[in-house]
Amino acid sequence: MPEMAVSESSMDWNKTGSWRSSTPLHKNITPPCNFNCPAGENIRGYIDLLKDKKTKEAFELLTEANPFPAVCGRVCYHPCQASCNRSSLDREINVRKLERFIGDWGMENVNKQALPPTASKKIAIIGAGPAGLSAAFYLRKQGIAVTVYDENSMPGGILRYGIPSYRLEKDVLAKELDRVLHGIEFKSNMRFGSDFDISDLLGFDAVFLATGAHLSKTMNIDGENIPEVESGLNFLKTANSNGSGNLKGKEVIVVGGGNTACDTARSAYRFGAKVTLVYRRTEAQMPAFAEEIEQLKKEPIKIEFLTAPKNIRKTDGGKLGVTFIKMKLGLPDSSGRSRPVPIADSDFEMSVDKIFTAIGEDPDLSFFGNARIKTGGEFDFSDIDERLKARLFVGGDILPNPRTVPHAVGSGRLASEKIAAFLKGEVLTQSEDIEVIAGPGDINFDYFSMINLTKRGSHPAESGFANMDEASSEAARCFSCGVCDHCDNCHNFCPDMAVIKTSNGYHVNLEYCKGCGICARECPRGSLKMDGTE
Amino acid sequence: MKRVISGNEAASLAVKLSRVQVISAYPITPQTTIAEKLSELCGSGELDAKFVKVESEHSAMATLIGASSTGVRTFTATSAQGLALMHELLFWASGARLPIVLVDVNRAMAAPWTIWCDQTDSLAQRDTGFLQFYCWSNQEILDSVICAFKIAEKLLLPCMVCYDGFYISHTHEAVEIPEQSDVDKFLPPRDAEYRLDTKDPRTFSGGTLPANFMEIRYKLQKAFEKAPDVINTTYGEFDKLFGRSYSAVEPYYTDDAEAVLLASGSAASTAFHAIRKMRQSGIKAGLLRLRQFRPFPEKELLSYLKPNIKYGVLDRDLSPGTGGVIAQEIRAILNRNNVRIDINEFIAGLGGRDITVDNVTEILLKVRDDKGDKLQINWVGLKN
Amino acid sequence: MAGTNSPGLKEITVFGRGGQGAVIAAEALADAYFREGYHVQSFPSFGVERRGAPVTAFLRIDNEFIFLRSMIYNADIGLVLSPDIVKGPLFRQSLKDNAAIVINSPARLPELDGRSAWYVDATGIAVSHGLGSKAQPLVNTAMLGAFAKAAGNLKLENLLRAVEESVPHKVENNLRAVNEAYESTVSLG
Repeated sequence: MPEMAVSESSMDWNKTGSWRSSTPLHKNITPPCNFNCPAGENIRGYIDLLKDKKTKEAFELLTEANPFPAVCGRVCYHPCQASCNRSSLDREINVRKLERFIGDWGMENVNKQALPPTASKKIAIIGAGPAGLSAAFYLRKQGIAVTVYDENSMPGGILRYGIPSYRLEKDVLAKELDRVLHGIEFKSNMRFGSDFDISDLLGFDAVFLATGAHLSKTMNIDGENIPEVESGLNFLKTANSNGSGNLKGKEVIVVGGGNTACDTARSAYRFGAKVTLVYRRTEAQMPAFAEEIEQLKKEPIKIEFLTAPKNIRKTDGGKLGVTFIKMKLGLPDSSGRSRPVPIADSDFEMSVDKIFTAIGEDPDLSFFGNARIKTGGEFDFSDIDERLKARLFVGGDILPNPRTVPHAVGSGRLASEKIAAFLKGEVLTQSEDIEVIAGPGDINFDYFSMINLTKRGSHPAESGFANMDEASSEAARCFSCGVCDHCDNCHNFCPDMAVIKTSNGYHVNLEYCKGCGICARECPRGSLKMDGTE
Repeated sequence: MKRVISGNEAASLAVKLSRVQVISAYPITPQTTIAEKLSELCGSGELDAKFVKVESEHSAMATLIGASSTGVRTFTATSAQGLALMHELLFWASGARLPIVLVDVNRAMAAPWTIWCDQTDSLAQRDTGFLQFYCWSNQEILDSVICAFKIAEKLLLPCMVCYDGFYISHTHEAVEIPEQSDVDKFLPPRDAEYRLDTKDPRTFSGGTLPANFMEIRYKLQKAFEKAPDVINTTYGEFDKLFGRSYSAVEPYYTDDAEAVLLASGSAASTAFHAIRKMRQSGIKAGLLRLRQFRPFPEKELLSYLKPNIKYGVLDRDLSPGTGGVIAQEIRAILNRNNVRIDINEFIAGLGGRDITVDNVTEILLKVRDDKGDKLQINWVGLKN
Repeated sequence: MAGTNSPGLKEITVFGRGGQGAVIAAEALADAYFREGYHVQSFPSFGVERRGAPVTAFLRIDNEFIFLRSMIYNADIGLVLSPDIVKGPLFRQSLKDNAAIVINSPARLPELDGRSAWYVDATGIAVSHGLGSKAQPLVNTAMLGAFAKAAGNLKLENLLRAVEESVPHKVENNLRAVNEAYESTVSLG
């Protein structure tokens, strides 16, 4: 008998697996950043590559979903960050800067990506904005010949004509467009209906319509048609095309609370105007992105909430007289937001030089024959020319998605997939699996320590990382929510040595796994759960 | 080679010479310089051992229990509250029969807060199943740590080497540092019969039913009973190689003494100095130095304790409610063996209070002139 | 102090202030006497050290192993790194009446009431050899040179080797300071 309580022979015979009532399963779930990316980027994936300073691989992975990392690293509103689980510990990962870092690397290092030769299939795309160009990029990558038509002289659509240069530098856009358009035929100054028509499209195997939403909604008030009352979109387009728009000393009203209103107000201020933004609800109901509102509030721009214009008229001095009425918030309307209700006898007057309206946009489909959008947002194909109908695809801001750049990019890429399937005589099927999202409850916070972020170099939100080290140390903060990064915790903690390392992950030896669940408990990121079935 | 080094450095060098493989320690005054020195030695590669950083002494001992189970040689060092924090795991180490060696740099137990020496910390661990040795010089520290590994591994018992904080730990004196090759001859690599090995999985110290627990405990007691022979054999081998001999109890000037003081650690050292001076002035004083507390050296003590001599026991410790721990243990063996010897109990030097030649002289004169009133505990140098 | 080859037990107390290197001085002296063939024992005043607070360090030497492990209360020699300590009660209480005193001062100290002592300007020597700063000169090695002169039973060569082993840097400067102090130390009766 030994001196201590020890088994005299091997305990291999004791197949503790027979005790098991639940089984560990290594199964990745969806990181919230990936789930919330309208462009469908594998954000966790490229952050993981940046941890190891693999910028080239990160660029390749990112551009599998979004051809515009430099653009989106500047103008995207990054819902990924808002959903980042790290915010439960210290602060969310700065995905914006990481994306921008990758995009800027691409501008410096990637000129012309190698493309396969084009086969016989040909696609026409109408609209050279983010949706059209994304579709073009991914179709061309598959060896499909692409011709892009646009009514403007330059490609980019909203990126060029809608977004002010202080948010997206023109040279950045130019460089990125240059890379995206490589191998793609671009036909400028081609407006459908006037410069070309259906007969020109009949030689194509499919057509993608992505002309966006450029029709400003009207206010339906008197005086709206006075020339000094202009749509914000129009103003932005002029300002962005030729940089004109001298408003020095002019008093300007911008009506609206969305992103266009913010861009219009901030651009007008940059052209020298004294700007007042009026919005009929309060800040909480503004449809603009939080970032945009924050930036707007930092500018010397006056904001009048709960205020709406009632009528406009030209006064003797050449100025505009505007009557406003104050509003209060009433019951919610169909959008779910509180409906603004006019307050009786609250009218007041202002005298201004210009009014820009930015209260929403609609797609302008007048050029496309009888095309229209059905109630509920679907594109109505019923009256489309029979010769086109079967091979017409629609996407981008025409559809009532949230009208953002990443949504347009995602919509364009989805269209490319549908078209590619269509060309093979198939219909794109989408997975019906319910995605499980990794939330804070899936994270074992004991494995992560707070980082004093105030000690790190501070850069203005608008700028990028100074160098690779900064970017990779930010990337290193990522939890890799829901996705196994082979940390070996399950292997190390298993009291029965039943979690065995394999070449690409782990295998659970069910002969000995007694289902204690320690592995799942010690998984830092929720990619291992005790819910395996046998 | 002889060098002037501190007690803590002597302990650290002994660990290096013993080719320890896993060290885990948490710094605490006055042990700190051991933890520092060993982490330096591991860091520089001079000592090929894994130094496991931990957040507490409890974890340090837990780490060593795991490491020692795999068959490697392990070491830790601590003091006072740190040792107390290890308490429950000390039982585990001995019950699992793991030959872990622990240096305790004796420091009084707070409260009130103190960093200075007394021996209550280690004596309070007497029931945990650790062998316990008490040193009185830096040379003895070095030799005892090396011997401790050999003894521990032969007996499969954990072992505690203790010495007084500051009085010895921070004192520099000349120490003969043996050659590595000689230590290797004395102390071969550990050869554990049972070891934690993933390729040959065993159950260690698993749930043990009432039908078997007592037998495991009996074996532990038997190992302690076997210990004196193993310890003496080890000392003999050490003496042969290095020329320095040790025993559980060391008698000095006891044969013709009228009054003998029983003491350990630095107090015994100062007492030795004082007794030599007393002898010069004709006072027949003697010293019994207690080097070993577990197993309690019953046989050796009985061979020295004579009914015609008066004894004082100096306890640099206190078990509140009874008195000095060593005095209690002496009374217990006397009683068990039906030996009728009265002893005087002295509590001295608690919390680093200096024990001086004058203190020792006063104690021994009191013992010599004692008229048979034994019940009271004598507090040495207590202020009113 | 007359040198002797058989001193019996001698006790030495080093008086300094935290940061002056009193503990290292006692250790270096122990090493030097060890090289001389003596049994040695050095130890600091136990506890926590603070920069600027009075610090004492101790040394015992003997021809046989030193068993005495109590504090030193009546030193045979006092080595004073910081002369202002002479004013305090600690100083007088810690020395034998006839103790030899080695003191860091360029001139006779009135506080010693005419008692004879060995004097050396260790501060001046340390500063001239770039040891420490003007505000915080490291006087310990110079004081050891003075000690060797006063003690008479310690070969300068052994002291120099001990200092070489125990100072962390500026070894050459320290050795020069030992030498200069040894040469310039005077007994003032």
